[in-house]
Amino acid sequence: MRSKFIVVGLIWVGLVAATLPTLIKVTLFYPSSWPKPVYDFEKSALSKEGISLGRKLFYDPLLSADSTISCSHCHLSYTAFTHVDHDLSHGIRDSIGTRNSPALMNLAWNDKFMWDGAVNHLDMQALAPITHPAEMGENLNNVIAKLQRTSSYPKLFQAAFGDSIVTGKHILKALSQFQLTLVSANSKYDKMKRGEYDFTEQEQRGYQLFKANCNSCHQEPLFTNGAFENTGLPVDTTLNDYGRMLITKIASDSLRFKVPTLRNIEYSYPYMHDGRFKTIRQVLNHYGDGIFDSETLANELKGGIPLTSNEKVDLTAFLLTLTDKEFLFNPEFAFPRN
Amino acid sequence: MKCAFINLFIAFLSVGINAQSVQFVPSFGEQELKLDTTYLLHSGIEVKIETLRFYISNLEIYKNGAVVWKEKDSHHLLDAATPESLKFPVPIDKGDKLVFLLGTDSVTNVSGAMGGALDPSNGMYWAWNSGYINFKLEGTSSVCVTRNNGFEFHLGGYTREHATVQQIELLITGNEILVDLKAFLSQVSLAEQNKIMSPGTEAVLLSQKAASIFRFKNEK
Repeated sequence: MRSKFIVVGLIWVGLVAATLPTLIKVTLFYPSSWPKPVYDFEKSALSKEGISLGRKLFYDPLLSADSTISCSHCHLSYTAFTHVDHDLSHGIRDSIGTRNSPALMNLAWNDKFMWDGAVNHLDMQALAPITHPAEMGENLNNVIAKLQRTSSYPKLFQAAFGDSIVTGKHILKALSQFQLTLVSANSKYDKMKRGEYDFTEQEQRGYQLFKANCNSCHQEPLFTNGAFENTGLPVDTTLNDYGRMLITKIASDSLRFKVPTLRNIEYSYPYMHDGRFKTIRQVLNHYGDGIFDSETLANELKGGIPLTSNEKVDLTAFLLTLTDKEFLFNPEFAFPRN
Repeated sequence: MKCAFINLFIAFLSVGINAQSVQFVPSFGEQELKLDTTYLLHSGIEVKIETLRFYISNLEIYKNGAVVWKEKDSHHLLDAATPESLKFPVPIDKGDKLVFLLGTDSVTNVSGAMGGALDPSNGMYWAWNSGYINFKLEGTSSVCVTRNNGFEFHLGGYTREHATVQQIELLITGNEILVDLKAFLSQVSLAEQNKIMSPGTEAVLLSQKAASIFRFKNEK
């Protein structure tokens, strides 16, 4: 009887081994001066097959209820993966959401996602837009069924995860893999840091102003500290969005929203959680004399950040050095044509 | 002869399996629960259960105060509508005390996408406030002034302030564990409290009540 079990065991191990794919491992490249990523690559390694599947899913409207909206609908590669020129996110059947779709980059260093930090892991982030009625309005089981029915996806899941049966876990892991590759670290600022580019005098003046006034929240090198802050925006009474408090149910989190990265800010307009400012100048004017005081206002913003008109121009010149064209126009990130 | 031997073997195997497993039995009092069936909660209050799903995790067996068995990757999603989900192998003969979690621990809640019982496609995961629903109970009651008289308890939350996972310790007296929904609903005022869908203080309090309804069948 014992030998029977061993034989059965061996056959089983053999089958599993036969179905496990040979993956082409991918290592995420980023500047050595950066902190260690938050995402655990030891548990979920990147592979060429996983990334490629994730990319196809990211661009596939099949993920939405009526197959009209893909992730890329609100996260366009050429505009730092945000919905440029739209203040609030759009969804199926011309639905309009309540928040500005965030730019996507350097996600391996994020530990909380969404403007209110509602999502605690990159893997789980995609569930939110997929299931939200004003976004993709679908449920995960329908997505699984639709993907399983196609001729192409089961093979791609087999290649990436060794199993042609589509699962929620594998959909989410694949989407993570693609999004993790969206690293932006090749702006003028990065080149200056590496000694490959010299800031102009104006950019340098702007950098000094940045370090004096902005760096406590928009910390280098990721240009965010990942925290939630109230930046003195009066509540838009058409939205009544109180941000982080809706998730934590803690009063001191009222009106706090996630500090966004400033990388590629030139391309990611409009700005703020509700997209109320169209230009960088409007944002700087807000920080100058538009701050709405309330109990949870960030300490750094009490009294505002008064800058002269010339200083605003200099600071803007620095912010434009955060544009990373190699990231924005990387063909590996664009719609997969093959 | 050969046939008899095989029969004996099957009988031996099934006895073995019975002794080495735990069966969760959703019940209403001592009665085995039937879904979509009207029960009298107490005088004049009728209830009907439509959905009961919950996680059991981190199973351990103790003998004389020491752990003698610990399940690896221990996560089970139990569903009153799926009988096979209610029974799984546990070497119950090994000890005198069964210890497990009702729900999923905080590490599980922050570890990203997982498969099997923990796959988010099982409908036990919140997309808009990350975390597992540890215990889901839905039904109707004449006292609920809600749409279709429905009540919905989706209990979850893993942060320190709003942790809903509960450790349950039961002295082993058999292998059938009752999950007594009458005991749960008796502790809830359904007229006032009938919809919990997010983490918070109410979910924590109700989770503690949910943990109190597990007991071995022949326990007095």
